[in-house]
Amino acid sequence: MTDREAQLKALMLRGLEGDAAAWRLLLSDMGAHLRPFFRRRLFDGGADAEDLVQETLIAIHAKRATWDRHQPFTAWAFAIARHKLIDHLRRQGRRPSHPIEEAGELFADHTVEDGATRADLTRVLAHLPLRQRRLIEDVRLKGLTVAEAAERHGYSLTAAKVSIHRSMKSLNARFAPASTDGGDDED
Amino acid sequence: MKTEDLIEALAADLPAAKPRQVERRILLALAGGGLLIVLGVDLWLGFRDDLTSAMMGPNFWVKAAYSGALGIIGFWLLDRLGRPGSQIAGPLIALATVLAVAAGFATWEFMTMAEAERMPALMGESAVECAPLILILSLIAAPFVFGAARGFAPMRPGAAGAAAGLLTAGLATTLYGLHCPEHTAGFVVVWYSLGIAATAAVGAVIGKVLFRW
Repeated sequence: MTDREAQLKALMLRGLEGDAAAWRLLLSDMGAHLRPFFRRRLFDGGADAEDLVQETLIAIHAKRATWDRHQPFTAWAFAIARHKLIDHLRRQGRRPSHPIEEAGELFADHTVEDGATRADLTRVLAHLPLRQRRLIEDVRLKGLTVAEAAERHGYSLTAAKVSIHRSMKSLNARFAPASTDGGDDED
Repeated sequence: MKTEDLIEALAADLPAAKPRQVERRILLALAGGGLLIVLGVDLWLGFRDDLTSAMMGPNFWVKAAYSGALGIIGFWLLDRLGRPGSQIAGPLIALATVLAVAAGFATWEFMTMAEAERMPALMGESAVECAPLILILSLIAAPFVFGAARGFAPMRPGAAGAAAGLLTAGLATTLYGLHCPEHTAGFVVVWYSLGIAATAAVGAVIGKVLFRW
């Protein structure tokens, strides 16, 4: 986040001096950030999102003099994107369905699940016994190795592997679509 | 149009932007508008007869300080509202402080006056015409100021319009002091403020339309 800020800010400063190459880079980079940002917030995804990307890039270009060199570039750019989004939704008579408050969100990695997915996950995992659940969280969500997680929770390596396997199986049985039941092999 | 083509087109048209570019244009607009207002006051209303001696005393400058401070706060507020992602708490606190101090001063003056003098002091000779004249003088400079402020990118066009109105009225009211001989704090705080507030309200309406982007 801070690296990205420094990088974009440097491009912005060069762009303000008329450096076309830096400007091209900045706008492409911003486009790449904006596309998923708008897509996730529009019901109809695709076409409108690309329109909004273009509108925002044009605004960044046309209003570049309103960026205060002492302020973070990302906060400025995010405010413009948010303004364009709200404008668009207002024209359509809709309100944003997701809260939009954080500039960090625009520049976060978009592979991270958003709030709804996270809430679902918590609900699903709540069906497991606590110790089993912690193990799953560490291995499947936090990215620890099985050995590390096993040691943390006092399992032997084999016991941990078995526990994870059982957990996944029981969750699968409970939540997998009905048509695929019985697809798993037996222990 | 494809986004890559758009980016190419934008990058091809990239004149250098100076720091504080929009503010400089507004200052220029204020200079031009201010000159026209002085001309308007001179030709239409006439400078006050005792202008030279008034400029030696404190009252003239206290009045100018009040309206000038409101104008500067209007500039500050407009500058903040016009930049995406900026905070406006600073100018709002300043505005509240100036208004509170002025109101306090006027109240103190009012209370320490003999009862018979109070109403004449408050109404002066020109209570009715004061606010409309301020509004009209503001309208002379408004096209310059609002035109220059279009370079900003306000999230709230109405609020930015009110700030631009406050700025314009601050300038116009300060120059209106060249004509208006009223000198009590009560008169200034009530009638000058009314004219400035009316200008800010008109500015909000104009801004809503003009400051879209």
